[in-house]
Amino acid sequence: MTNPVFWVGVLTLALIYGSLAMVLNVESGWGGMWDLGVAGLLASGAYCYIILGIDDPDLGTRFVPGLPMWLAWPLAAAFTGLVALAIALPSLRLRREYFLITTLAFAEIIRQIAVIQADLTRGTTGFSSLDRPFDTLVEPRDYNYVLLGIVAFAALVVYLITRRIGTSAYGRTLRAARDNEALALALGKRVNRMRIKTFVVAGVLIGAIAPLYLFYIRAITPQLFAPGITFTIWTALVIGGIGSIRGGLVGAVVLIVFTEAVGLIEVDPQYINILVSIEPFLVGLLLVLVLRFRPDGLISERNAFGTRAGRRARRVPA
Amino acid sequence: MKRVIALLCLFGLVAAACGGGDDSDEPIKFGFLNGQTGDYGPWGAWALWAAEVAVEELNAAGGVLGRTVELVVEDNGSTPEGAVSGYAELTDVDGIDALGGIESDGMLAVFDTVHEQQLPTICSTCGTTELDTTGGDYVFRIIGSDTDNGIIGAQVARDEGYDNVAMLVELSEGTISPADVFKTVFTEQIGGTITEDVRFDAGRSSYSAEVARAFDSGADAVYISVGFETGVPILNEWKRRGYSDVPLILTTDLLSPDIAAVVGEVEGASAVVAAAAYDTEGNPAWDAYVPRFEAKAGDPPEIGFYDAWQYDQYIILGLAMEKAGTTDGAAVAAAIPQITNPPGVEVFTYASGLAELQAGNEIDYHGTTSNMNLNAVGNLQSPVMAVSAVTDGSWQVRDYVELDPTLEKPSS
Amino acid sequence: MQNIVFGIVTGSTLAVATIGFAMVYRTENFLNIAHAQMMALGGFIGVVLVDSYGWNIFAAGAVTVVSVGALGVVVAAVFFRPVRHLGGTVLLFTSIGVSLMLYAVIIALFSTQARFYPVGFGGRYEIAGVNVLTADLVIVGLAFASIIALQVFLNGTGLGRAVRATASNGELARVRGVPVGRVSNTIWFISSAFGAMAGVMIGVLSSVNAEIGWHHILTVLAAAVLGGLRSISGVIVAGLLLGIVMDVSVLYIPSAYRPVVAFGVLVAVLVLRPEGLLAVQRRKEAAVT
Repeated sequence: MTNPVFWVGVLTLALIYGSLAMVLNVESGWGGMWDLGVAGLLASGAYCYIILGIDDPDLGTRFVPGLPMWLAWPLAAAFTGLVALAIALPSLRLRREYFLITTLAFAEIIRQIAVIQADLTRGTTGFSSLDRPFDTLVEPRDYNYVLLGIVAFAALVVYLITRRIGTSAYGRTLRAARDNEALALALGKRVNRMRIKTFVVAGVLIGAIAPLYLFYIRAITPQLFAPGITFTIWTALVIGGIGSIRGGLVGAVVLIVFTEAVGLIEVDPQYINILVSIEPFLVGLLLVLVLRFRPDGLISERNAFGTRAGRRARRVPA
Repeated sequence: MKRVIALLCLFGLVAAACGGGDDSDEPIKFGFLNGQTGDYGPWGAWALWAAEVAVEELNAAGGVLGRTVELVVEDNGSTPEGAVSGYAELTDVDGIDALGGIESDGMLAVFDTVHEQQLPTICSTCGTTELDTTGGDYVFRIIGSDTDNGIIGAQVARDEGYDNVAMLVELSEGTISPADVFKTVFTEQIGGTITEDVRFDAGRSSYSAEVARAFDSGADAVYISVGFETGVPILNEWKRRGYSDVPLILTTDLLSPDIAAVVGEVEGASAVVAAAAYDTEGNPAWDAYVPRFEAKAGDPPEIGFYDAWQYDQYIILGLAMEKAGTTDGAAVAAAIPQITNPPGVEVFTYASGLAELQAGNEIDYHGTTSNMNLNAVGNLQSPVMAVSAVTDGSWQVRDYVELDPTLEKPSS
Repeated sequence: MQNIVFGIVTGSTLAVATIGFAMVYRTENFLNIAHAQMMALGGFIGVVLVDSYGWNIFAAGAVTVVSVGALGVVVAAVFFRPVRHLGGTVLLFTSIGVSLMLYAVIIALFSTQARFYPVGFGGRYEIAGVNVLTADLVIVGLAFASIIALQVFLNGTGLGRAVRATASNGELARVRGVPVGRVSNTIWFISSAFGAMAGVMIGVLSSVNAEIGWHHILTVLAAAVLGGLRSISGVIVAGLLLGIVMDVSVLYIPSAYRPVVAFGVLVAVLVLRPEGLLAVQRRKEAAVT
């Protein structure tokens, strides 16, 4: 069959998206916050990590902090948490469609700032030739396996953290407030505060995952953080099952492996229009079919939590 | 029915995946990784047609190393992520022997991987200033840098006698990068004034306000660095709103027939493109390329679509592989400057180059776009630069120009 | 003043683009992302008729609008109606799936090359120092004519009143015997037709390429949400206002910062007036407390 190295790369990307989708599930699936600004948080974490690590004055940036990777990484996560807080405070006064468009707007603002503030971010040129963890220890050809190991470990950690959140009393309250806000308020839960906290935690996790994405791409430009990446993460979550703990991970693996497998189809270059349209068509079809025949996703919330959560799909936005 | 199609496709991919291996009867595979969809989509078809013309030429002359050449096409969706996964597919699944077609941002994403895997790569249309100093081992660039494009724009503004220039710049890497060089050189080295620097993102429903701001700023001329799908509405505004007495300095992307059509309708308009050009004067390589491209595309080659560079890169890769006598990446990459640079018999086509190599002679390939002489960092020593203007509704080269050596590359 | 004129042109196309989106939201209760692909499809069909077959722009526009409207009805019947009972989330993501499929069809049929409408409408007038083109007048005139026609239809015909009844209270309308299927088809037809018209207008003003659907969905979303999602007049005001703000701000804000400012203003408006610009009683719906 195909060279396994290729599928190692595909799986790496799938696990990165899976980790992000699991985090998205905490805020959107359980917290009921329709966050369309994942790209913005990812950009915050990625740029913070890169800028803190700049050690070459020839790159022409204003700051050359030169922090080591192990220090820049947690700082980037913390910074992304702060960005999430700054977004959450005004946005969480809104819900549903209004929250959705606000988070989307914040993500676009962050991306545009990355384009404009060229003395910090090198604008549309960005950074390439990035250092990666343990890259001096193995042959470059074997590094893909190392990266897969790192990413798999990260996905496991994210899974354990989100499962912990999901099965805790906190997680139950979060879902209860999503399903019946008035009741949660009546029971004395500080819903808004809880949501802000959840959003910030999600921000920290996204900020921590961001460098992994850069290790895969090996370069950073503002264009990486266009709204498309947010839609891919959402699509993964919807296919896997909104509300279930593993749904995001399963959905991302299905989506990314499917996309890359479709990409392997060979067509005579003469029919290039058909070739390049096959991939979006089949991904769109996959999404439509999953929603039609398994509207709760491949793993439904009901299955994830026994019967407790009940059937939710009928909930219509206000 | 749709699921049946999906299933068929899955079978197709399994069959496709079972190929591979290193049999010498297998064709030599040249990768073509390019934005067929996404922001570079409007250029995609032209790039592919030119690449196909080149590969057909290689095969018509008996292939490379006696083997047929196959062009393996991969769409990168015009994103770095697409470039990374497309590259992985080309190298890990298809097992390509050399790579071409890729754009600046994708090139930078796969740059390190290309070196680790020792894959001979030609970046036919990369303007990025990042490659000004970093190529030459496995990555070669056969088009002028954005640095050159920015400087030539400023030089022409100076020579035309413009003191005050306004700028219209689309916010993308390929358009910002020459514009920034232009601005620095024009203000700091030439002493000109930028009356207005209007920058905007593409995909707007109209550009009236941006155009008015630039043209109402009292400038002697307006420098426009935008993609051509943005350029057409902007020039339509320029024409319709009565700004057509203000001269324009345009960039390479705007050397397209649609733009020429707009400019050509305006009496006495002055619009020049000061940028990279094809090498058309008395160049056999060019003369041989044009009819074949036209037969495939239905239109003549256009600089603004960057087709001829896509053609040149595969002729170079074919000759270099023939020179190296092997598909080994390191050997082929080392052979690239040997066949593009003197000394050697000057050749203009793959067939003549192949004949000279088989006769044991050194060759110096001259492509459709320049003499292809590369410096130590894999950049062109002297990219062809020209000032073009519209005559009879199409772009014609007015003068070939050399970069003024007194104008320097601005430090970043 | 000049920039206000530009803004009115931009805003009129935006209003036309957003009306269909808001109508579907109002009656079907979901954000139909695929609406923007209908715009792209309209832009392409129009340019092919005009550029390749030499049709008159108005004839081409009419055929485009009707055919894309009909396609909208088919797409709704095939993709959206079967999952309608599953609620807004499923419909929203189904519409993203449909967007991808329509995008694929657009690439397969029309390729990714940019196309331009070879129409100029000639004519430029100076009115009190303001530069106005015939094209500006045609676009603004058509936009308003079609919006008025829509209002006349909604207020003056039985079917139109049924549409309004369904929009304000779907359950009640059903109970009262409104022909649900016909009303739904009408809504989808109007929505997609307006989308296609916006696509043609954008094509005439700038250019058409396969990406324009993705480029414009954010602005449409913003105008719809700013307009309060449920009110058609709100959407028209929001579209015009957004257009004018975008074009006038060119004069005052360093242009590179404009997208940042535009989105910043959007966030500020939403936070300060979460119910949208016009609506007054729907505060509960948008604000948490």
